[in-house]
Amino acid sequence: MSERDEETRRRIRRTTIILVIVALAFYVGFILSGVIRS
Amino acid sequence: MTTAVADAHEAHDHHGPATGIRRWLFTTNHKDIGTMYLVFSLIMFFIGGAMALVIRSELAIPGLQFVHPEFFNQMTTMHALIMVFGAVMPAFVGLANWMIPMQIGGPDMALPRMNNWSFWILPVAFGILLSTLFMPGGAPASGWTMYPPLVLQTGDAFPFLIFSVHLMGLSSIMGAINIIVTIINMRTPEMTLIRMPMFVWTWLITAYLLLAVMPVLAGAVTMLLTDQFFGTSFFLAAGGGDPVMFQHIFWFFGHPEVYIMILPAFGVVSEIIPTFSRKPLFGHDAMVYATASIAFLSFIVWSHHMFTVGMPLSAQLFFMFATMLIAVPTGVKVFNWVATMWRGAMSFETPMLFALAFIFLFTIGGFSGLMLAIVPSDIQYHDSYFVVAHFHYVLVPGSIFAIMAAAYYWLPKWTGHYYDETAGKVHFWLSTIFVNLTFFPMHFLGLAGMPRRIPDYSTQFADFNLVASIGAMGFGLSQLIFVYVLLTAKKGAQATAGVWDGSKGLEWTVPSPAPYHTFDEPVHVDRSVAFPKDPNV
Repeated sequence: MSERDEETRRRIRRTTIILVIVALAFYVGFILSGVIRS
Repeated sequence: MTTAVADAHEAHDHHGPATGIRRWLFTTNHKDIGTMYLVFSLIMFFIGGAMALVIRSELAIPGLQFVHPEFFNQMTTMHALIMVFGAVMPAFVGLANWMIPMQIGGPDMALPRMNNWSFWILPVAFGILLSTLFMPGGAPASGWTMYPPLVLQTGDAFPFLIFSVHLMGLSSIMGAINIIVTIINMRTPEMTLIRMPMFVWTWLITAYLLLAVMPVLAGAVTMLLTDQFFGTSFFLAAGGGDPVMFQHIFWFFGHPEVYIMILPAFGVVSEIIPTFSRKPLFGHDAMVYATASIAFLSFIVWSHHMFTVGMPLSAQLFFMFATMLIAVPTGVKVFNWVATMWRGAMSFETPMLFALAFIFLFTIGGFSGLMLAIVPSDIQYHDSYFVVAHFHYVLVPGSIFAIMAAAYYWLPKWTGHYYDETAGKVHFWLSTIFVNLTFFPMHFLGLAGMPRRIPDYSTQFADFNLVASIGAMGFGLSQLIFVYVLLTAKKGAQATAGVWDGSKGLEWTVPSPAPYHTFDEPVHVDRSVAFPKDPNV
């Protein structure tokens, strides 16, 4: 596998991890906001 | 950029699809998964449509005819959940799966295994949801908004409702992540972001919306679940909770959800109008910025769904003006579509007819939305059939007409054959006549004071209800023509690669039907395959 392919895979992995973290943050964040308000 | 996947395929000697059921269960091919999404959404469209016909049969004349009021409420709830999460959203995800890799010159979606999971979660989710119809207490009947405390009175179906909504959300989030990662990382090197076709752009923005709001819905229903089974009081006033907070959280998800169902439709129409006008899209960049503006504004207008709940005057004013502001970027879009057609060499094949009807009828839905945005008026319109007319104009001749337009537009590319154009046009005209017959009278019913979500009504509403019910039956039957078109889709003349006279873009450079694997190598973009933005590349 070429260096360029490796770089593409790295970028795909990195973007995916960031987006998963964002989704989890919204999920947990809104439940926490409910906990704080109730 | 795209050679990574090409190398992987070389190891398997450019294999074709597996055979039998294994092909569909284990496929990671974006075209197969796109097809499964589209077939699934069509099945859900007919199941949700059958429920709509139960509703309209009951409402055809005053009095209780066919179903008990409890079952009527289950039908309104299930119809909405199935149409929103089972029909419209999966249809657009199916189109995204089929077309985005081909439009950006990528070999497949970036995360193909996750793509398979995203799809196969859906039949499970809707199997669970539909199974509640046969449970003690029946299916959920509190409306798709699932407001507490009403939703907490749901019978045995409640945990199944929550679980199925979680699964739908999970599927949507995984799909959104896949689309963003694909568009960011898998484009052919010459395709910069701003040069992407509008369908890809609208889907990129939609995917960000999905990523931001589906977890919010998941959080809200998780809190409902803990309120019901684990002794919490997030939304229970008796325990110090706040039921109105659920409404705020739900609509923080719910309003962007509306745009999740309409932005890809804007993308479809932005592809079709230039093709059949034989002109590049007018104001491509302005369309991108307008789409992004609509997406941004969708996050700051949610309380317009709750004006009658009560809120400070300053909040009412803010949400009213923010909502009305959405008309500006939407107006930019409508203007640009019309300007694209201006002095174009137009022809009126079925996809173009559906796209034109979309512009005209969606705009009617937009105007009634503006009326609803005005606080003093909304207090009169709220929870009336005017609201039902408004959102059905946005979603049926809006989203669903765009899906139909897309299906007709890309069907020859998928099957390799031209469909039955006469049948397509009959389908269009019957759908357009009956959709207006169904939903336009609902404006008058709402203005006259008929409330929504009721199985019976006063006799002064009888005439318009009968018209709406006749329209609904006609619209439902008209969709069988679409099934006929699909079943005979491979019997027409062989389609060329370009399919349509004015088609531009990478998807039209591959043969029809599109090969199982496309763009294994990065493609060069020259004048003959110019993107909509750049007619003179």
